[in-house]
Parts: sequence; structure tokens; C-alpha cells
Amino acid sequence: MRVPAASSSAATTDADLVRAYRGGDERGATELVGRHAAAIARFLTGAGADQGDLDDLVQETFIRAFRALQGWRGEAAFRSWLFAIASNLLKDLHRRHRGRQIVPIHESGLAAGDDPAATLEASETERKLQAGLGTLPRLQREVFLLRAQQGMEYEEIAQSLGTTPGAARVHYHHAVKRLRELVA
Amino acid sequence: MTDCERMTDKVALVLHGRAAWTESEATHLRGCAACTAEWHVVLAASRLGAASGRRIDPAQVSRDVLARLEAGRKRRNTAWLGLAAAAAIIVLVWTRGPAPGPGPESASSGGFQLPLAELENLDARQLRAVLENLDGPLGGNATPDAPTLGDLENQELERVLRSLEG
Repeated sequence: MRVPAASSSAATTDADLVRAYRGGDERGATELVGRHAAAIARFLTGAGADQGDLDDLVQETFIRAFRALQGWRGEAAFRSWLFAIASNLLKDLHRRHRGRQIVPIHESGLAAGDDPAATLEASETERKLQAGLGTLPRLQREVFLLRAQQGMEYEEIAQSLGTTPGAARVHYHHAVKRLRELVA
Repeated sequence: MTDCERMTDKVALVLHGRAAWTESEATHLRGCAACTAEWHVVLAASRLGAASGRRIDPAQVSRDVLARLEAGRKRRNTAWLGLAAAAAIIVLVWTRGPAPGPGPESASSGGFQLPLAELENLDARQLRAVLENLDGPLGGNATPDAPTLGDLENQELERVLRSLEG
């Protein structure tokens, strides 16, 4: 199957692109990377990935995904599946580097408007948030990120992280409560 | 479920445009410090990692990913070719059986043969002379290990000269 000419349009679903790639059209893979790489990088950053590891982690996420496409069940969103792989990669990395601290990153260029005071306040909130995330259990942290950062439903989160929607909801409520206290 | 719990479930979805506040929820949000604080936390989380996301170059990631996948395919193909070649050699050796040893038949039919096509024309005396020559080392009188004239002492050389002169 060839990727349609308007491959970048939203009308071409991830499932179409996966089929195209499996049929030998590399543009399917290119388009999938284009759609999801930034979201994966943001998730990994929030989850505590070292910035020096970020490129490799994003790349490895897609490598593993494309090598195991036969394992992708079409009913789960492709992006959810990518988050699952990224989460496992990060977990493995932290296991290998056990003891290495999750270092809160300082993000420049926070989009808080042109008001320097507002930018500073947003920056401070984000710094506290990143620090707070580092204190949460892994599953709580990742559930929170998939919900708050990516806007995912509990069902999608459950599919990504191998839990149930009900458990994901409880994890999210716990995380929000804790972070609200830490950031306030 | 309290209003605040309902709000917790909805904040992220509203922020990402997947849901909208109802009139009563909007009113609750304005008057509830906990829910307002939560809104700010989720808002900050939605921005978290934005710079990392912008720094990633999807085109480059895609090129690297495809190159690595291709390299992996080539490695696997090479490995399969190696296995197939090894299997072919094993089958070949197995089906041909052991190599024939030097038995009585092979001694007469195979082995080294002198190019003596004209032997049939020789009489008995001449054939005997050929056989006598064959008794000596092939390719001349010297063998690699045989002493050359340079290895002989003077007395020995004298004896050789005398034998030649008769």
C-alpha cells in the first residue's frame, strides 16, 4: 500500500500509515515519527529522562515500535502504544542507572506571554512541578503526565501503562493532590 | 462523588480541548481555591517538556530510525545466508558419504601413471631397462635429502671421479 499523496492530513490515520510501512513504504514510518516524536520527547522529559538521553530514547522507542508492529493491536491508539514502549525504556534505563537522581530541568522559553513576571511565575511553578514529579511513584507520575500533559482518557492511559482505567483514575487523583500541595 | 472530584477528572480534558466546563462547573472553579490550584498545576504540566519537544527534529529521528532498521535487516539477512550456506555444506557432505580410500582397485586404476604410451612397442629387454631406471629416484639421481657433490669430502670426490673414469 502506498501512502496517499495527502499523507500529512489528519484523514490518514495512524493505522493507515502502519499498514503502508508494513507494505514496504517507508514514508509511513516517516509520517508516524513526525506525528508523535515531540509528544514522546515531552512525556519522557516530564517523566524524568535525562536530556542527554532524550534523543536516543525517542529513537529507540520508534525502533522498537517498528520492529514489533505485528504486536500492535489496532484497537489501542498507536500513540498509546508508543507511550507504553517509552515508559518501559525509561524504566529500564532508571533500573540500569539506579541511584541516579532525576534532575529537574529548567526549560527556557516558557510560553507565559510577554510579561516577565508571569514568565518567572510560570517558570517557578514548572520547576516546582518537575521537582514534585520526581517524588511521586513511577506509575503515579506517568499516569499524571499522560492525563495532564497529553490529555489522554483513563482508558488510553490504562492501555499504555498496563493498568486498569479505575486504577489510573486513582493514581491521577493521588498525584494531583500531592502536586497541588507541593506547587502551592 | 464531590464537585471537586468531578473537577479533577475534567480539568485536563478541558485544558486539551476534549471537554468544556458547564455553567455550574465554571462557577465552582472561580470559587474553589483547591480546584483553581489544581488548574494551575495541570496547566504547568501541559507545558512541561515543551522545549524538549521543540528540540526534537522528527525528520532526523526518522532518518536515523530507518537507517538503523535497514542495518538490522541486513544483519539478519547476512546471518540467514551464513546459516543457509552452512546447512548446504552439511547436506552435501552427508549425501556424498566418506571419501574412497586407496584400495586394490584404485591402486591399479587410479594413482600416479607415467606417460609411457610407447611401452607397447618395446621388447622384453628394453622394458627391463625401463624398470631398472624406475627403481631409481624420480626426476633424476638427486633427492632433496640426498647429499650433493658439495657435501662430499675430497677423498670421496676422488672416488666418484675414479668410478666415472671406470
